[in-house]
Amino acid sequence: MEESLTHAIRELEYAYVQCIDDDRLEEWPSFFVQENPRYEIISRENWEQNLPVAVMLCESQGMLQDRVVALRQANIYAKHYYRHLISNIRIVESEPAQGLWRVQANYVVFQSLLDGEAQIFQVGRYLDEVRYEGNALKFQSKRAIFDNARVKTLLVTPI
Amino acid sequence: MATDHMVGAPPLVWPAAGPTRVPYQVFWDPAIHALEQERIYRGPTWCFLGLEAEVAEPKSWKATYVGEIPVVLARDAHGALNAFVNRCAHRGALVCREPRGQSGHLTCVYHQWNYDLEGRLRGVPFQRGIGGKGGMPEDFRLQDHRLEPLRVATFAGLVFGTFSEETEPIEEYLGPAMAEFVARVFNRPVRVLGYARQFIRCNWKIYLENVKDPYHASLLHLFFNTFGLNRLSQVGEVVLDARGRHHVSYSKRAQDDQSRLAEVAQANLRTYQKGFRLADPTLLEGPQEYADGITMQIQSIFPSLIVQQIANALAVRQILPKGPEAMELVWTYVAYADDDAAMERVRLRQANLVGPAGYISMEDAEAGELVQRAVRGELEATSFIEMGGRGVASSDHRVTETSIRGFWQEYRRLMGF
Ligand code: FES
Ligand SMILES: [Fe+2]
Repeated sequence: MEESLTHAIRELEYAYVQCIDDDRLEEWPSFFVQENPRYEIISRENWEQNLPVAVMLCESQGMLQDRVVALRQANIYAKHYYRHLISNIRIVESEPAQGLWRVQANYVVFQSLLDGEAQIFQVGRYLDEVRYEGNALKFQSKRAIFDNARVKTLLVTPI
Repeated sequence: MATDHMVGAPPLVWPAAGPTRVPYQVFWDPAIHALEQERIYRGPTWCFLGLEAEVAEPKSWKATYVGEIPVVLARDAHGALNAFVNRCAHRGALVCREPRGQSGHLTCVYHQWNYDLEGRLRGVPFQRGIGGKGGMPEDFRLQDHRLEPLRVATFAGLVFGTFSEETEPIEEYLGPAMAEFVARVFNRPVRVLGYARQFIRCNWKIYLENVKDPYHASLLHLFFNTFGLNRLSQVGEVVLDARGRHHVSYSKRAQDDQSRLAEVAQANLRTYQKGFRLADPTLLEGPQEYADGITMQIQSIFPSLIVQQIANALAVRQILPKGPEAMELVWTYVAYADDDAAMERVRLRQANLVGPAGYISMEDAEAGELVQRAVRGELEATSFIEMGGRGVASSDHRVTETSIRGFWQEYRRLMGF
């Protein structure tokens, strides 16, 4: 049981970043639960000072979907590719009574632009809450806390 | 003002057409960049240093910059605000190495020269040497050395610094119209909700032109129009100070001006061809907070500050040049000190509109970089800035580049171009 849960959580994290790297962003909201999901990209600078402002914040399925529609239809930005590397995935806290697991993972996101150069776009960690919805594991919340506070140019694609 | 001994005057002749033409050379030339540090940032200007709320406690400080010069803003033990250059009087090391802190004194780590929060030197290790050997010369006096001070002024909770003795008092520098717009946003105490830092690979003046440019708002930023949240037809104005160096552009929710709506529709802009709806419009929900009905205010205070109210998203942005071809934009988001938890949540949600990932602000960084890439190295060509005429004056509409011309007029005056 423990083994298979750990495995399932790892699979969820891997599938999540692969969805973004493959630019299948229309599927991105489906990694979150239907009811009251929360997604946040926040700098470590703010996080450690208990300052709540996030660079990106979604508090519902609708807000997750709106980010994708805006990115596809409205926002203007340079074409780019992401490549996430994710490691040190660990369950840091379990609340079996509520069917909730807190998961932490490290990540690096490389961004490649059309000039042919890759740069480190973000380095940070995920602090996630994971639960089963039906048979599928989903994110109740996902928080990307990035160490390199300076955002290079702009951030449009989720982390 | 013009200091010939500093930097050799760069080979720049401004076109006869004045502020409607800007030579692209000003966006990349290192000699011009160096001269700006002297004539603008060390010149008769008030540069934004921070909010009083950031250094609310006695003995608290923050590290920032004026242009490229590292500066500390500190509140001393008596509660007074001081600012000084963050460069040790000994051999030039940064004294404050962290963005903010709280301590009764500041010690340079290199040789532990010690300063108080007014920037005065209080102690030097081994001043008399060791065992009668070494030490400072006989005539060494602590009071002959200190961190270079700036003059400090506050207005409505914003703190400014200047290196020049000639800079007029802050109220005069802002002028009555600009002071009123700053004070309508900063009408009562605020607290900091957080920061964002954005590194943009363009000259700082390209970004400032963008801020002063209401022309691009509905053309580059397609978010509102894509989702049928039309703002173009709202009534608005551009207001300049007497000299044209600062500006404010605002719009109000009002009866749609029918003739304007028709014109916009006729223009058949790509911005009107969509038809999407927000799946969750609570993103934009929030109270009308101000009796004047203003829903959006973007204000620039020459040369480094932007004050912003976009619906309920309140922020200041500080422009920090990083060499001639890059800059850092520091966003400081605020709430009113008396906001309840629900109001804070409204502001945090609406923060999605602005900042590095802002629905209606991310494109500004992209536009700035597009200009930088195209003007690099250019010695002849100029831009063309005649939307809304050729003059520098306030305007009862926002289809104008008047505030950009105002900026260049002041830039030329200070730079001697
Ligand atoms: S450089 Fe600061 S003490 Fe020597
Ligand atoms: Fe803009």
